Amino acid sequence: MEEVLVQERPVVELELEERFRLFVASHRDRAQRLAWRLVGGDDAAAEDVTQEAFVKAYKALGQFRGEASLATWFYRIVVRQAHHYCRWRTVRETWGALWNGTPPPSAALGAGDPLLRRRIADALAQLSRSQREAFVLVHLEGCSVREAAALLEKPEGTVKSHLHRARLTLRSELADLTEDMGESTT
Amino acid sequence: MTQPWDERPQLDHTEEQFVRHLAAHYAPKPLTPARRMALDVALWARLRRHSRRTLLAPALVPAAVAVLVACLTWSGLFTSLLRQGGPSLSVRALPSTGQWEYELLYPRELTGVVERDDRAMLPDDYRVIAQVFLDQ
Repeated sequence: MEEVLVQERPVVELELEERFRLFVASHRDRAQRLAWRLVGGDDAAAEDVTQEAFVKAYKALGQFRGEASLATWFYRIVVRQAHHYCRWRTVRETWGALWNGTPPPSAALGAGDPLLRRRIADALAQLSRSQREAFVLVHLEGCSVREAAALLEKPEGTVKSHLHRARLTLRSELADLTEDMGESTT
Repeated sequence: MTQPWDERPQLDHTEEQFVRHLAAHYAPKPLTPARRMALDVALWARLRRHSRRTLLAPALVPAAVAVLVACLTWSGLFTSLLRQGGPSLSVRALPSTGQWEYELLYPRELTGVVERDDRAMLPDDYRVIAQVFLDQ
């Protein structure tokens, strides 16, 4: 009986590893994109955040209670990790500016027009954390309000309010962009 | 993730266009297969390290306790060897039982008072008994 138990453990571990490998393969790209948008368009930071989120999820698999889907649970970790990264980046930049006198250059690598991307990143940075997360999840990542509310652990009404305010702020910050779009469509 | 019955925010045409414009221009470059593989390798290397640590962790605590106990034991032996030239067992003596114990067992009058002999006051029968028992 003991031999059977001893032999079973690695099989379970291997199965867990295999399943997690599949989970990583199916969520890697989306997690990376979400992280990229939340950290202000920084490729290296997005990779760090995604990897850290996967590691944390793997470590905490035993604590997953099934109250939400595994994907929701994981993206919640990604959102938190991105926030954590941004907070420490602010601290690093503040101290770096104090010690070196010059702020580090902000990265905004990605597809399309780099200047426009930088402007959008700056405009998103003007939003509060909750507004930014809600906007990125719903309008850029295509989540429903209910999904975003589950991810952010907030009531749906609160998320809708954040979305409304975020749209107002962004349209005001990127007003010229709206005018250009109007001209291009007419 | 989105289900057909999920609610989407109702936006007018301009807002819808604005949001689509942002989504289209604010996106990372898609991961190349090589980059994806590099990320996977890095991730699994980290997860393997974590697994090894997790396997070792239950053994580390008792080992650390054992080392600590051994260190304390040896340090105690060495200090006693240095002080006394060899290991020894000692029983700590109670505080000196001298006068205070005697006073408790045999209470007496205040110092300087001469003890009276009350035997003369006893009836004859009692005096006989006292002589027998007190060997007087």
